[in-house]
Amino acid sequence: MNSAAPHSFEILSDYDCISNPDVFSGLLKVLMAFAYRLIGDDTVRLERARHELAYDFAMEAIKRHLENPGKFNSERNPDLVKYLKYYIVRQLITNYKGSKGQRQEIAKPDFNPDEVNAVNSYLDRYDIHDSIDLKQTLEDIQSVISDDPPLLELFEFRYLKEYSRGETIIQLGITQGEYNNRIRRLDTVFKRVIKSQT
Amino acid sequence: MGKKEINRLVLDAAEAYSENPETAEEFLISEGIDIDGYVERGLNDLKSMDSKPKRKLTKSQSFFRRVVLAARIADAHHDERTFGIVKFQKLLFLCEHVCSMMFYTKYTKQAAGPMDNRFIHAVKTEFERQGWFKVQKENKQRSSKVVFIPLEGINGYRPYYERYYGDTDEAISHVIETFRQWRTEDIELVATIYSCVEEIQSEGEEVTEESVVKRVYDWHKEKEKFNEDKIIRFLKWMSETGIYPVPGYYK
Repeated sequence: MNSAAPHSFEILSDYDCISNPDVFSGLLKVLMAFAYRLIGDDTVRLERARHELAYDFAMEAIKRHLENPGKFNSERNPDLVKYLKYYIVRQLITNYKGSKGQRQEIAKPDFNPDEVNAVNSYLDRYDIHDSIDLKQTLEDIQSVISDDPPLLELFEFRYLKEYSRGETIIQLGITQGEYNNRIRRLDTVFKRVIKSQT
Repeated sequence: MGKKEINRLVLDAAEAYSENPETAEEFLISEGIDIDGYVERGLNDLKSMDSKPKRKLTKSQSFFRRVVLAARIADAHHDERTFGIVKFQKLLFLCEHVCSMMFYTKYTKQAAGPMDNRFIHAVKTEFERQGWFKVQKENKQRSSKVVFIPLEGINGYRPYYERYYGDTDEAISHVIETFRQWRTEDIELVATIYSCVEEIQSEGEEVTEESVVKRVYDWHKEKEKFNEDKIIRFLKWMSETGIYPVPGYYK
């Protein structure tokens, strides 16, 4: 594991260590938290409890890697945690959501050239809840954080000006840890706004 | 404005909560989850997994499993107006890659995207040998098209499919359904972009809109039929939907 970046959990070498109970414990927590948030929030109707699904996705990712370790190319990206999160867990969730009653939502990317049609991504659950207006949601978030400059500037750079995470961190002159702190706070606002709309 | 920003916000939040085991644990506990219980269960699951013997597929096993997957694709799409040999190939490529299947394959760069030529020829023979499909060229007024005609034994592939793909059926079906009504040319572009992104990453380079567009045009002269705007639009859609080979966003 890497100790150079104290805030983020990375596995950059000794990839067999994930069977070690201490490493496994940390990895499972990280993958479960990642999956749990991606699955959705309280407004999402699911067939099983979210935490059970999060556990299944996290374990499935670990198992898939252990069964096929050759699929992970450390030259491509040396961080095994990122690989498990983005390559496997995210894919599993996307596939799960895409296959559960959202097929009618699927359209081609050039269906509407003015917007990216992330139609079968995990967030399409929100489309199914017709009561939620996404544009309005963003406006509501902006309104709630209007008197919170740190959140407002993050929101503007990241979501309105579409800066990348790295660019946003540089623009705001903050650390990655502070960036994640603000994102977590912003997400709390987001969930509150969503809840108020349903 | 709307969906794209919200998508990004949720992914950012997922990343922030899972920054390290401490933030993850704090988040999960705040959601009322008994994380210690899950860790214990996970360790037990891991142990039981270790005790199961693992077996690597032989080339012939790999071939037959691919034939079964190909039969599932042909069975789902043979009635579709847009379904021909190119779309069949691209769907097979996407199912294998999106679902992370570990088969023996020999994809090469062809005008219409990635293609495993040898397999495509062999699968036609195998379909007929199994009595599942007859694959033949159908001549129309100005063009010809390869069609998949179900044979009497069409259902014969299903028990094999259940056995091999029972666990991944949802993911496979998702790919199959996503592209059901797509034009061949468009799915060809998706498969090409997918392969280009994989290639860029395998070389350790950063995936950017520019690098993908360049790879697509370098792929084959035929790709000039896609304008840059369309390639970027498709790339964004793929990244957003997860029909994409990477960890994370491209920049």
